[in-house]
Amino acid sequence: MIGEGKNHYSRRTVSSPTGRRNMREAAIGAKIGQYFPYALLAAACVILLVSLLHPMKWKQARIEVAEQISPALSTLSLPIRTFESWGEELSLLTNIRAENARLRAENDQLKEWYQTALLLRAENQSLKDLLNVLPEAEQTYITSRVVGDSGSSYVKTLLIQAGTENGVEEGQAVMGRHGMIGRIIEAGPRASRVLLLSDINSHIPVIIEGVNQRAILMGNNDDRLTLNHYAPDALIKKGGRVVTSGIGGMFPAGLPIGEIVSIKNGAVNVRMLSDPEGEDYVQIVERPIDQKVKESLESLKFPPPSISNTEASGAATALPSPSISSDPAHPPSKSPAQ
Amino acid sequence: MMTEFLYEFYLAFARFLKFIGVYAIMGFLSLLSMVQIPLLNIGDARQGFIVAGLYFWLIYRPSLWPAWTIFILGLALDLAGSGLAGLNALSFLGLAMIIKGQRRFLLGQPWHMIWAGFVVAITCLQIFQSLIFAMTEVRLPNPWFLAGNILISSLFYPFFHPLLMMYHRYLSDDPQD
Repeated sequence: MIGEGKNHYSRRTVSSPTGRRNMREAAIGAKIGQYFPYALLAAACVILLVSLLHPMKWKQARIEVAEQISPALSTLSLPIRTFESWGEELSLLTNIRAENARLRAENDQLKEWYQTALLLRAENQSLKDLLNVLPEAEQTYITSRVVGDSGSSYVKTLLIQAGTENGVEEGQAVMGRHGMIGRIIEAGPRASRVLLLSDINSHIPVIIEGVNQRAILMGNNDDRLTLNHYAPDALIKKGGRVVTSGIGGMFPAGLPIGEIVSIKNGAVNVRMLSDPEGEDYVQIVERPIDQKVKESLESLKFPPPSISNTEASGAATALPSPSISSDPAHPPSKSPAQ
Repeated sequence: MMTEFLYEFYLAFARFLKFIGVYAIMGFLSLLSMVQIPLLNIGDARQGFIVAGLYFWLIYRPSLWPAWTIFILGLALDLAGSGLAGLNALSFLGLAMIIKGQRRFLLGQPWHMIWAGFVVAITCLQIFQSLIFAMTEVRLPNPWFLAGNILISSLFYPFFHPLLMMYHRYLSDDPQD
């Protein structure tokens, strides 16, 4: 009965002009629906090609997405972290006696090292004073929580909950518990992305301590890194420490990265001191700024409160607006208070 | 009259929420694939979470996953994960077309056959993505690494299947009942 009714209804709609129009529209709709997935496939191919040719094209969109998802990731990772800490505490409780003995031995060793370090620092300082070495700018850090990663085998990145509002900038080095793990590649206002040293696109200038040999440290999407572009006659040995060279001014010199674990057929493999996958918190190394430059920048940001509005506007018309110039012939103008 | 209208509105809203739940589940799985899970150390195999969800819904509720939703899901993951933009969108769309073509066969199968189907799906997806990366980086992927990823991803499916099936059955129940 139901089937008959349906046939009668369809026959009736087809016979009328409105019905025919409806049928035609439905057929067009069905045809579009049939080819729509292919159109989307083509669009995905185009996006992929654009991403290959211009990787920076999607940077802003990535920053926006990271900004939006970082609070959700932070909330979601909370129970996972709680379980993790419970597990750690449980394992600590079971091994508490052995751990205590190990820590006592380590403490004794560290006390000896502490005395040695004090002596070396004093010696180093006196030698610097003798040579009149310019003091290095103080290093400052921003500590942030890791909220997520790329979730892909082919991209090694971390998402952290600190951004430009906290002083994070693109290019800054990121440290784990024991050494450098990567650098900032995208910085949004409240979230940033870290490209890990293990990513295949990571190449940084390093120096091998002891032999003072410069090289480039490259990622392999693996837990081992590779040293490249070192002198063929370099005396590289297993166990050598690899630190940042500071060449190029991207990172400060001397940040520890890893140690050489194997040398096979000229391929030098480096194991990172810090495991980036297991880091809950990271430290972002702020670029050292000379104290005088910092002070002048601060004064430009916050005009002195002693000047009244009318005075300030008068000064603004009389003097060019404060700016930082890299041209030595045109030094930056000073504020009236200076 | 007013009570009736409110009741109808409640029913419609409840039905809407039930179906929104499907997208919420996929959103949750997508976020879960980006959270570090140090206890299990499953790292790179977490893509299996999303693929498991997508595979299930494409078999049991394909009408809820038209091509454009899959495209958006893939693109959002690409942008969130800092990989090649468009790669997940492309691979998910391709996978969806294959699964939709095979769903009549898969619907009548016992769950272990559906699991076998998932193993095939995740293998195809991982190999496709590896090939794309091999082409872009001019470097062959580590086959052991790839095999490990496929194996671990495949092992997730039996955990997700019963939960998703429960929700699928809940969707079939009318709120009026």
